[in-house]
Amino acid sequence: MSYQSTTLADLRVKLAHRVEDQPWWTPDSALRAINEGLRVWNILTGMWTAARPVTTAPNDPILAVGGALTLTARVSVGGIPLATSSIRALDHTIRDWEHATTTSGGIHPTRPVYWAPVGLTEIAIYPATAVPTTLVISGVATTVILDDEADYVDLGEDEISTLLGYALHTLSFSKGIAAVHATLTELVAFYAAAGLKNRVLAGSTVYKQIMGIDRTRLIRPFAAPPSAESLAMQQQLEHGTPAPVRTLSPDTRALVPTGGG
Amino acid sequence: MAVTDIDQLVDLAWRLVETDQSFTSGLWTLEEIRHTYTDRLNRFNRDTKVMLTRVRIPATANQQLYALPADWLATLRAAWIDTPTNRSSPLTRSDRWAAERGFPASVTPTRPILIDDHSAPGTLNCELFPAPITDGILALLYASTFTPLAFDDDAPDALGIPDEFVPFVTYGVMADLLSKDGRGQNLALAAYCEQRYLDGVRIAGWLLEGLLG
Repeated sequence: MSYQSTTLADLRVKLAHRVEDQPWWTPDSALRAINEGLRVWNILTGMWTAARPVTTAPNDPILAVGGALTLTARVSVGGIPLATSSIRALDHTIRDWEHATTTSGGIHPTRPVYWAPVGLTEIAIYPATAVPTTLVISGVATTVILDDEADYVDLGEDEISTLLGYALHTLSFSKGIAAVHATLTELVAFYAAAGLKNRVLAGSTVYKQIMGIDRTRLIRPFAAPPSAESLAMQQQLEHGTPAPVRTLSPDTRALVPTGGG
Repeated sequence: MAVTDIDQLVDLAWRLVETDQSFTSGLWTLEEIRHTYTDRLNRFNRDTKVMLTRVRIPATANQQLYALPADWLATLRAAWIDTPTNRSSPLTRSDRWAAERGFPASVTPTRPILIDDHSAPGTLNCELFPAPITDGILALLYASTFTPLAFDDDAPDALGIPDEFVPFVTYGVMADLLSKDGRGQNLALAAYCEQRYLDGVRIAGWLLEGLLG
């Protein structure tokens, strides 16, 4: 797979080639479809990343990430990374973590050791710093979108093809549900390519749900299998004749699996 | 540059094969689209909790009922901060049934343990169980509503969520518009759009999976 710089003008030409140079879309709608594909690609694969310094406010465990990052992935202080946590985990493991600072002493460390997201735009750190301290926050950057014809993206050939497939599928919307169905394979290919690029995504439940390959419900029974007593009662209700109920001794009963998920 | 409401109006126009962003076909009015877009934005935030707001509500001893912020949508976390000690402890979200029946007579907590923010008397109220015996602070972290979009050409509004999630919200808006009873109804396309909206909700949930808790 060779990486290359592909301009918006090139993308337009290649997109038109997909439909024998008979596009039904306007230049503006094609641009919007391509940029939509870039945005979804970025959020699925973390294609564009950035790191930025953020200075903490004294004794405040919450700090804003800033608009340049869509998703925080890593936080470090003085080159030492903080472990990822969650608000809930902090609540359940560290008593009164919100008011702990790097000078609290006792069980509290002297530098921040955990960070947790507060939505997508803020993070919490534990412990809060007693003095302004610079953290380096890195993660998924805001998507680079195209505007001028000379603007370009650095993507491999197969990724360009996948991106154009997404754009084609998006543009087919204006032709109705038949066209959407006809190009649905392009959307699936797009998500599949994102899964190849991001193996964490490929192993996630959300990926299986989106790709329609979530089969966990088929291997997990919806309810426990009926007991012998309930089967006998059902037979009596339907036919009026009680079936013999197989009774188990307490010792044997303990060995019988109860079933169910 | 953040995506704006005007930008998305143009986006909706070409997707729905409108001749311009005034929606002169009459299938949908601008007022209707404005409401629908704001509602979907709020729904997306309620479903994903990607944009959160913090508030500290002063609490009074022996008072059980408190007003929630006007822009409250869904609570992610609630904590009780004792004023005398300035110590915080998380509250468990619960309901009146558990609150009334969950505490044996022998248990007399000295601070609130449960919060009911969805079945409290009246709208936008929450209750603490048991009522605090001292003054304190109720600290809420919650998903909030966005400022209603105006679709004003001269002063476009930013949508308030990361640009990467805007396409999914737009699909949600189209799901609402296309499922409306009327000449523009197209239930097949609406179902497709709803699925794309849910893709966005799932992706946002995956990004914060195990992190939001």
